[in-house]
Amino acid sequence: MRICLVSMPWHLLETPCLPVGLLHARIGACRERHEVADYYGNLRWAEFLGERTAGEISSADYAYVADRGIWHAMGDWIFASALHDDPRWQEETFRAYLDRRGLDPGTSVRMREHAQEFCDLAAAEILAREPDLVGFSSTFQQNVASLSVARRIKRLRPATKIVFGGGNCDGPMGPALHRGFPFLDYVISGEGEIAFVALVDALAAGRRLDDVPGLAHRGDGGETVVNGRAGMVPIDLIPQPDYTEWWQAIQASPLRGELTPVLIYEAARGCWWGEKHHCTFCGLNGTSMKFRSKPAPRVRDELAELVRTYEILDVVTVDNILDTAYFRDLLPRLRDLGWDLRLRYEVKANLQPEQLDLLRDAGVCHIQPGIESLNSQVLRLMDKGVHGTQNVRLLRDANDRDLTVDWNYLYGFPGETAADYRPVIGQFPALVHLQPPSGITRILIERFSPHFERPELGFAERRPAEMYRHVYDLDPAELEDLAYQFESAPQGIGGATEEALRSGVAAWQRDHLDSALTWQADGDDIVVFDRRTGFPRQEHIVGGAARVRAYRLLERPRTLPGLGRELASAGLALAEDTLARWLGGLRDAGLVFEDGGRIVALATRRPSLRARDGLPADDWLIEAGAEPADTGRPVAASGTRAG
Amino acid sequence: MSPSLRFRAPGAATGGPYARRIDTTADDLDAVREPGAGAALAVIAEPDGFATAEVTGAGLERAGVAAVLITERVVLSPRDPVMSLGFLRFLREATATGVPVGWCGRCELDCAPVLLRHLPPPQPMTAPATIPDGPHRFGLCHYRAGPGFVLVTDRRTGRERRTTLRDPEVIGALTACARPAPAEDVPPVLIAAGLVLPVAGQALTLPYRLRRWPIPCTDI
Repeated sequence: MRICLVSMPWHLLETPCLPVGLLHARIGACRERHEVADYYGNLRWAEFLGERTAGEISSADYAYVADRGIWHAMGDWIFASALHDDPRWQEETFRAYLDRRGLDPGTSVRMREHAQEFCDLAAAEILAREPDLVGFSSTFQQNVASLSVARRIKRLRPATKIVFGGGNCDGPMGPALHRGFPFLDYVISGEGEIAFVALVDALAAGRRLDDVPGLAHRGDGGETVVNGRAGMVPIDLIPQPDYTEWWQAIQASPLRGELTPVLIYEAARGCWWGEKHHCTFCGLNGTSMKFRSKPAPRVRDELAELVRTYEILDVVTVDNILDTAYFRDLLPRLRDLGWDLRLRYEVKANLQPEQLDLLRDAGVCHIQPGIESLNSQVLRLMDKGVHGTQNVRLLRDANDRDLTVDWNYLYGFPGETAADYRPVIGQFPALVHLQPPSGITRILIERFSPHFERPELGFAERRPAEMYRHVYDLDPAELEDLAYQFESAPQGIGGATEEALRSGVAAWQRDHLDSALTWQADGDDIVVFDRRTGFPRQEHIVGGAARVRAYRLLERPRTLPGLGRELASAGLALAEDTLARWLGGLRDAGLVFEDGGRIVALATRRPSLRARDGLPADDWLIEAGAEPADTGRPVAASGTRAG
Repeated sequence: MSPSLRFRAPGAATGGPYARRIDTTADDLDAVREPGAGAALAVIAEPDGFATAEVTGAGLERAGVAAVLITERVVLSPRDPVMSLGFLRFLREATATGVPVGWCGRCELDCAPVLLRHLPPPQPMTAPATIPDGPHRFGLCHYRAGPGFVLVTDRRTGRERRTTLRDPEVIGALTACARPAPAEDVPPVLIAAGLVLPVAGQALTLPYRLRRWPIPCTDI
């Protein structure tokens, strides 16, 4: 058979599509040999927009829709005109939706003018490969572009079989897609490594499809028949992805100069934390929570092969959480490679300093620790398993190791109150030297999350998110099965507290780049250098053995009684009221963060490095061939500038 | 008992956020200091020592050097290639590890100014040198090593240029010229690309190997 695997917009332009790479490799496990081609429709779309608009719509515009539009189905709306053959499809609904939220549509309206023509072109280009089977990998905003092209393929060449898979097809979403769009022959729900091979084998042999796990297919009357699902794919069956055709597409693309290619790698599936404590808002693991990870030597070898093959040192791992065993057996191996990698990993936030050292040494300089909140009570409501002060400690320690931290501030949890937020918001100004959240979001209800599965947690009534209205034209019951994000009446904080939270985060983001709070030993004392926006530029001197010891102890979050006990056991006891007064002074100066009865010190060991400073000025004046005016070296008086 | 929390004016002790001021020489700049002591402003009067000093970014970091101030004027001249390239090497290593350098002087080298933009420029000779507020334009021209290849990222012209070096001879020369080395052994392609600077028979690699990442790391 000839098989074409397709990745449509809005998959990121810089990266290969992991499911396409995995299935490309897995087809080698089929009983017969098949010809496989990959089609990077996302890259073609960005190229096409550039051609049609003489470069006015750029890869940055694409990135805007891919990154920002994901929360508003902006990308799906752009292709909805092609799906419904209506260039004005829900245009007013879309504009009103954005207006209500104060969102910039970017170039989405202009992009949409080209969507139908592009889908015709993509269908023709895929059919030029004469495939017997076309497989679309659909996650998040890839649904509508994929459906639009699939419909055209079926219309142009009905004998071509179409199969969908990916995150958008997990659970009941897959059968709903199959019912809602009759031009889809097959939809695979759940992990694809076994099911896709079984489907290809069955099609090649002309066998019935009843044994293909998790497959939605058509019965004799055209109705949707859904097979039972198989168990999890064992980790040994998850292959090294084959990105050869992605690499060729990138190399041949006119956008090559604008893009910095980044590899995607998967070392593990599922979430070991979620197996024990499912974070209440998270639906990302779909129906496959069980944690499975590749053995460290295999990960090292596969990563090394990818880096060597594509000569790319930037790798994003898609693991939902770093396997803790990797601290022991993988990270040292990566460190020992001696390469200047830039790896990105999702981690749990309660990492110890030596674990952060290992991450940095292994080239993991970009982490996503799932911080979500700085208040322990709210973190408890979401079953995060970390304390607010641990999150602040991580932000502080990450700075010392040049680790970039990606995090979002989430709110809107059932049961949270303004009293949980006020003290934390009041301390935001003291945190300004630490990395701010990149965004602040009222949570939606994700399918598969505890909030979705267990209405008693507080979201008793829910409906598909409003954004689906400007995308689909489906019966409400069908949309209920097809949607991933849901909303309900707002829970938790609102009004003035919500406003204070948002403006507090905005100020943090604004003032962060110019702020530093560092400490150093100075003889027996500690000096804290305050260079934070909003605070007086000054140096705090912590003096006296007991207080210096106490300050160092506060590098880890501690309670006041706990701190007192530690000092006493070191023979440096302070009376409790003396200690409390001293801590009050530190708090007033914004040198510690306090939450839920625990206190943690805020100063970092050194300022972090910034690379943003615009274009270089012509400041190297070179006096070519000039005779020096003086033969000796005039000695200038030593001078310093007040910091 | 000493006061528990005192305040002092910013920079009262050293002129910047540094616990110590150390008067030292180029040769001693990366000598290991007392463990646990705070970061230092290193003040150097005698820049001639950079002709032979083995200053590395790692050494500066180990020594706790957080800023360097050169108090004598520096003249970079083809008449003194060893000193000139040694000094540029020091500027490169300091930049790689995020250490600000304050110096004043003049550059008479026969090279386009753009080639040196990733390094802290001389301050006007009309006043004493001062410590810059922060590290100089981090990440403007650097390289990263992989298995059998080297990725060079160069934004000195204001446009980003990424180059992958694969030829072992070229990679070897880039590494060999980390310290001043004979220019005759350098493949011309490295000089044409502005990645190695020749001065009177000697040559120095201009980009630094990336040792630290900025935050956010995606900015470079």
